[in-house]
Amino acid sequence: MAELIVTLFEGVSLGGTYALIALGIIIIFRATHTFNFAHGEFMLLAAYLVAKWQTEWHVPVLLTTAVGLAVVAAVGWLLFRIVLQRIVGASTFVGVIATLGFAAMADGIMSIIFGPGEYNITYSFLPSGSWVWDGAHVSKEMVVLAIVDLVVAGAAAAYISYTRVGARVRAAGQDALLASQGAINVHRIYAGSWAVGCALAGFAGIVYGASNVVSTDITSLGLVAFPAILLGGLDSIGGSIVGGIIVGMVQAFTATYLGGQWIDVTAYSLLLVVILLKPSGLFGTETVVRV
Amino acid sequence: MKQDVIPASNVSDPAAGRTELRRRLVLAVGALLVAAYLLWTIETGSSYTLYILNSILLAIMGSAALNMLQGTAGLISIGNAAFLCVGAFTTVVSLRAGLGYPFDLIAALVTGALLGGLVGLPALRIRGFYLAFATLAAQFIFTQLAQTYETHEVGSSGFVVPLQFLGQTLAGQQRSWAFVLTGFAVVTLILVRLLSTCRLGRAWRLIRDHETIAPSLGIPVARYKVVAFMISSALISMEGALAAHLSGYVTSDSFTLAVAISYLAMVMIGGQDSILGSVIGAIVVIGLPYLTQNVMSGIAGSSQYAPQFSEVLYGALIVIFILYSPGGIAGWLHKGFNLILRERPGAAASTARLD
Repeated sequence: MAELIVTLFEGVSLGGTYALIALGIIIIFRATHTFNFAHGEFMLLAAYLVAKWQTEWHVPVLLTTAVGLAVVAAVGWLLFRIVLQRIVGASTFVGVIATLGFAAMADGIMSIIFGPGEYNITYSFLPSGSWVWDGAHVSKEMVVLAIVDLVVAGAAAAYISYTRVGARVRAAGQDALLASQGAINVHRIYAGSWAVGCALAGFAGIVYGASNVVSTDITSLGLVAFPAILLGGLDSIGGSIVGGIIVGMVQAFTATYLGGQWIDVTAYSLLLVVILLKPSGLFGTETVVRV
Repeated sequence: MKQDVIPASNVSDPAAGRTELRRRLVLAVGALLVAAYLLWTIETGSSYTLYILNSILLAIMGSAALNMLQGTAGLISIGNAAFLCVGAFTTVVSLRAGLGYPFDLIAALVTGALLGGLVGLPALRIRGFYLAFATLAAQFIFTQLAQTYETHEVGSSGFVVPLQFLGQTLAGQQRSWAFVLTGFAVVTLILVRLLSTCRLGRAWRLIRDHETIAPSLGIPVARYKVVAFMISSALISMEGALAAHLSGYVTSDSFTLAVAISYLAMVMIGGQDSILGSVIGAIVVIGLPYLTQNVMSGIAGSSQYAPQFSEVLYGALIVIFILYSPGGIAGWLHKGFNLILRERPGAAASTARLD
């Protein structure tokens, strides 16, 4: 029983991280039809910046968090303005290759700047210790961070779904020409989506770094969110949160009952099953064409 | 985007036909020169030079296979490291089961094709870029299975593969391998060339450029895509098996996503849908780390971050080529040929006027 409770909480915590990552990727994909394979690199960049400033320069952690998020958003904005703006309208193929190339560049640069070591992020105002419930020890810090993750993801999803700005993002992604005739500055919306998507990635990276350690493993965490995206539906804003939590749960139960080395195998097996049975995912638009 | 990749050999125009003939002549002379240089390097090279040469020859196999998949059939795979892993571990399992060299290579070829079919089948029935996700899944699943097998059998130290050509010196072994691998690379290139110029290859290009039209011309799109992926997976798997024999050592840690992306770089830098491009791409990407190392120790006196710098370089090259020059270096050469070798109708007239 105790094991089950701990596993459930770990699943929600991991699921919150995946929901944030998936949401960022989907916002960018909805707006610009570029599927960002370099999302994990944005997570790692934000986590590295916050951790390095905190441990080496002793800057207050909330300030570094804000600056770190701003930097990551700016990098995403610049990546779109300088590089990816040229391929808007080209096939998805081109975006996948371009972001993979950018991922290789970012990996190399970050490895030169930050070295191979591990860093820590400490939010001292978070509660320490753990709640004991029926013999189960649940870390207070983990629960609070999971709630923060889910609240931010929920707020971002609601913003895209229900506000005028969100409607503009969806309109610009659906039909750029019609949207621009409706007085929407399409390129500004696209660049803004990149900034917001990357900031969400950075937030996920920082929060994950605060409850674990900051190392290059974070980039592969960005890739493990892909099963969550396909499960929720490639273009579904709300699906990203549901998909994220399901994949987080699957991984937590795998880690507890099968062993930690199998978590990526089960997540990706789930991805293959989704592609086989329901390629549009649980909540995605049925645009899939079988050949 | 893809138009400038396809050679525009317009046979009905005699001038263009003659340009094409000259282009082929220049290519043939170039190939002869390269062959002579290759032979000279194999005969006189040190074991270090020969090791780099062998790495390039191996990479040419994978690069050509991926170029066929990505350039000709228009499918993105990031599972190249996964299928190298499949090949290397098939060799390990075959050797441990008593199936010796070179029969384990055939086992690797068959396993690669079968697992390629297994991974590709669900994704390739759907239009779009789902193969990228399925191959990413293959990357994580296959390497994890390989790692589990490895820790279970021998611990994390990895498997030792008995070396071939044992009676010779280190350079002698590499030299013998260079001859063997040249054979494999040439056969792969010829196979890919034949496949991509026959009916199958033309169908792949039609699927790549106009997937909605292909079925109306009687092309079974899903089947042709699966065939492309199975062939390329089989070839990459065999490359993995050969690499295991060459290095004499197999560990699951070496098959990373970065390796998969480096093969993508070979295709993008060399040029999509081009045999020449796959060769150029393999030379550039395999040579890049050695080049940065030499340049950095020459300029800065230290080559501390050379691997990272070469990763940044090929990442940047992928981005630059996909944005500005999807035909790759082979595309430049093709344009250059056309500029230099084409007949200028104005040229004869202007000389006459000068006289």
